[in-house]
Amino acid sequence: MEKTDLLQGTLDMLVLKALSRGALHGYDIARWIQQTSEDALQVEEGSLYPALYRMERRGWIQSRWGVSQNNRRARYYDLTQTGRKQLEAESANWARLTTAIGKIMQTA
Amino acid sequence: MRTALRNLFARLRALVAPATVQKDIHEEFRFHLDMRVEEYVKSGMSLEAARQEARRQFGNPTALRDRGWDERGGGFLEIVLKDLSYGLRTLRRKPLLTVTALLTLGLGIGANTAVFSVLNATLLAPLPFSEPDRLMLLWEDHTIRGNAQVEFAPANYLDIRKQSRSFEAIGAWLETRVNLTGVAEPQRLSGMLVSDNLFRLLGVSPVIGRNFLPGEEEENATPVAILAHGFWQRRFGSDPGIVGRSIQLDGQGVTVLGIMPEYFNFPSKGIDLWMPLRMGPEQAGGRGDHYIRVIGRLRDGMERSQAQSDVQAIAATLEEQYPRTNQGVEMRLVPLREYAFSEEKPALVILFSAVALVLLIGCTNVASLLLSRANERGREMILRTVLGAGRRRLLRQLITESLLLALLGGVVGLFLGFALVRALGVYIAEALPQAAEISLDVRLLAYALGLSLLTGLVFGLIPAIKVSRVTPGGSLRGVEHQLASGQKAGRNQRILVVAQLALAFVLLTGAGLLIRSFANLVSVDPGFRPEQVQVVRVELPFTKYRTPESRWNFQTQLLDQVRSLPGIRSAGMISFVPLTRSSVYFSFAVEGRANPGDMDLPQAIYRVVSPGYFETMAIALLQGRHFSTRDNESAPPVAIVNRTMAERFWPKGAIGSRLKVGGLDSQNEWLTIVGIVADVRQGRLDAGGEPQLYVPYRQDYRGFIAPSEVVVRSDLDTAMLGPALLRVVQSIDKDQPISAIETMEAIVSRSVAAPRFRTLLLGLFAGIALALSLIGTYGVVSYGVTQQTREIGLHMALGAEPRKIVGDVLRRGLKLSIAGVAIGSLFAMGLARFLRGMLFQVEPLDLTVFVSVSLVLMSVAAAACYLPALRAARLDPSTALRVE
Repeated sequence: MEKTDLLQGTLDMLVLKALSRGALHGYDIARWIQQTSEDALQVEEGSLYPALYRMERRGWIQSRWGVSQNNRRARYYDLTQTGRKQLEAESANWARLTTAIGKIMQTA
Repeated sequence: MRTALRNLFARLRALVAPATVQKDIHEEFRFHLDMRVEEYVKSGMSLEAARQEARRQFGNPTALRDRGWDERGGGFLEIVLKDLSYGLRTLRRKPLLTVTALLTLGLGIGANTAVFSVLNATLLAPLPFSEPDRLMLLWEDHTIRGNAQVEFAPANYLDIRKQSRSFEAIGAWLETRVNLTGVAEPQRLSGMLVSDNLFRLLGVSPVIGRNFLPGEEEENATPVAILAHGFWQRRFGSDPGIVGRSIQLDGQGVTVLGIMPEYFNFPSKGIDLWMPLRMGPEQAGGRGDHYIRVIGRLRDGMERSQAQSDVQAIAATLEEQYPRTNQGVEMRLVPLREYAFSEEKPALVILFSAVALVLLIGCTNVASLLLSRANERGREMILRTVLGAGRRRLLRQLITESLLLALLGGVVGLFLGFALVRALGVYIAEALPQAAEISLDVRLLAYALGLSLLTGLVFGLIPAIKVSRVTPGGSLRGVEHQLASGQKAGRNQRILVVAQLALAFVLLTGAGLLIRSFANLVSVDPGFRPEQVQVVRVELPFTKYRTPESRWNFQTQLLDQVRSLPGIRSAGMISFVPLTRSSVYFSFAVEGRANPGDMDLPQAIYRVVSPGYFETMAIALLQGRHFSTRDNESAPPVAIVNRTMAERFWPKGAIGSRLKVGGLDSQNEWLTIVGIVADVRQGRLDAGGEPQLYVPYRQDYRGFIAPSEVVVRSDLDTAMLGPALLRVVQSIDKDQPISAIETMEAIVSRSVAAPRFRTLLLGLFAGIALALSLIGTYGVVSYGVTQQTREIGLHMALGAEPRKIVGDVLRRGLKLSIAGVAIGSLFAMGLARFLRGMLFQVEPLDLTVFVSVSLVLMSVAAAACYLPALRAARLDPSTALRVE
């Protein structure tokens, strides 16, 4: 299966989306993105973490240490109010962008 | 906002405990990798392969951890801290330079802090009254007679208070002295008679008890007083029960109404109590004597100029109504704020400018030090540029270092400043008796901090810009050359040296002028000999000693008994001893001359003295005779005048001529002049030459100017004499207190406290400036020699004599000092005139001062060049040539 590099800046949006359904730790976020995109998206998994830290600093997400399903200490991330708004804004933006690009690409 | 706070907290946490954050990140990565490995193993990979694959998927953990740290580490704070610790290391690496710079800055900032702390306690101290900007002092303005600020005559004050529409209220005060009696230790008190509206006008109320009420200044109202906090504490042990009770003042019962707040010291410090200013019809109607101080509160929104013309209009009406007394009497307003410390203001402004110059010299010194270091640091800077440090980063690093240096200097300065204030405490207290307590307040700290930061920017910017401008093209050597090439690097520093020598010249000139002036001042012949003379004040209460006879009896007994004490050579009494600034002038008429209007009568300082006064003070008798015990109430009235008065009014001989106090038509008796004495500096050392009139005490009927100061010439010290005098006084009247005993020398010294203070300070600052320029010049010349080691070695190898080398270096230094002196003298000539008001018998452009300052500065510069010159001459050419 062919893999696509992640577009600059879209990682944040995907993370926010992943977290919109509840708190997850980093590994689950990475897996969720892979599975949901049916392995189409190529993420250097480690780069997820600086992105998470940055988003936390911006106040979009918050984190706490918790216990994972296999009983290990794991750091869980969760959307904040600001993060939720940010996700809405980015989704809308993304929709506009894909529609516009789609229109262009469909011309003969 | 909350996010920002949380972030700041997280950053701080990362700074304080970086290991915890690192561990956090590490653990998170670990978890991720482990999960991945577990999954791969489950799907059938070998453990080894799973690990490899997981790692490949994850990316470079070290790089990722660094990127993570960027987000979760100390951020900007961390960079600043790094800069700071790097800066500290740099400072530590060059301890001599650092200590020099810190001391220089410390001296500069310290001097500034010291002077600012004095300003803070005087000019900048807030007036503790409500809406103080509406408070105006009112003065009679007798400009046509050469006096623009005269106290009010009682009737003029009452008229203005009644008629003026621009003021919410107008009040008045008048100094008085009373004795606390009916107690074991009677005490002389400083009292203030005030209009009953004064405290309300100022917006201040007693902390205990009540204010004066309207009507309490009526002549026949019950005697009342409000006590000052300090007096209440000292004398009544802060007993609130004293309010409502009666105390004995001059033998009369007075009810205590209240206690004022601790800070309240209107109109001056040292007041013990306030009483209503009560005037009988005769006093209230007087327009001839001017002695009442007046203050008003402007109506809300009233302009000062409007009020001024209102008051002036009233003055004009009064002038028309009472031409005899009010001719040429105008009135004017001075804001209370402007008046406070108006006498000291010029000196304080000059001192403040002086310390600013000292700091500027300090800045040039440090800038020059940093410049030479910058040249040495060229290589380091290039290296860092090459290694990828941006110019902004470098600039920030350099500025951080300068600010660090400045702040450390500020701390040193704060300490030095306070040490200085402590050391000068006595002089400050004497020169500025009204100053508030000097203390470390927020404003002072803010000033020191702001000044340090500003200083850091000033001296740090030049070297920083210079260094950061280096372009890293070509070889390191080339760049180093670019920085350190003798010509350009040297020029900046030489400019700085010239500048600081010029600044030092200005300060030295100012100090020189003040020192000459002060020397002139203290060498003035005061007309008496203060050595071995001691003074004590015995104020007889008017209520108890109502009749002149009772006072005379007391005074005669006192003098007789004092003279019979062992160790006393002579004793006498006078109304006010010289140099205490109590000048009572009386107008007088000369027999045989036309009578001018009341306001244009000549005036003389009027003193009542006992026999023995002139002898005790060693005031020279020039003609005629002294007063004797025979000049009493039954003998014909006589007077002694000073030489100026005698020569001005009786050029053909004063002895035997007659004058009277007041106009020719006054009821006063004619006085016959029996003696002429030398002029005495009565008010202040730097002003004299006014007519002085003395009358014998047994012929004076005006109680308020009765002799109350006893002068004694003896071999005893104050500790012996004081108690002896007190015993004598209380053997005559056990209720009668005396003031603390003082030597006449202390009184003379106190009279020049203010000029001594400013001379001392300006001298000190000029000395610091001189020392700093010495260091600065030495540093630059010495650095120049180091820079030119090769060149000098070459010269010597080619056969130049060591003497010529020394000459070369000295000549270069001399050129700098000549330039500094030339520029400095131009500035000094421009600025000296601001000192004019403070100079006594010295012209602002005094040639002696200018020439000596030039010589001093040039010798100091020569001395600063001499050591480096010697070092140059002792260079070994073969080693010198090998130096890079």
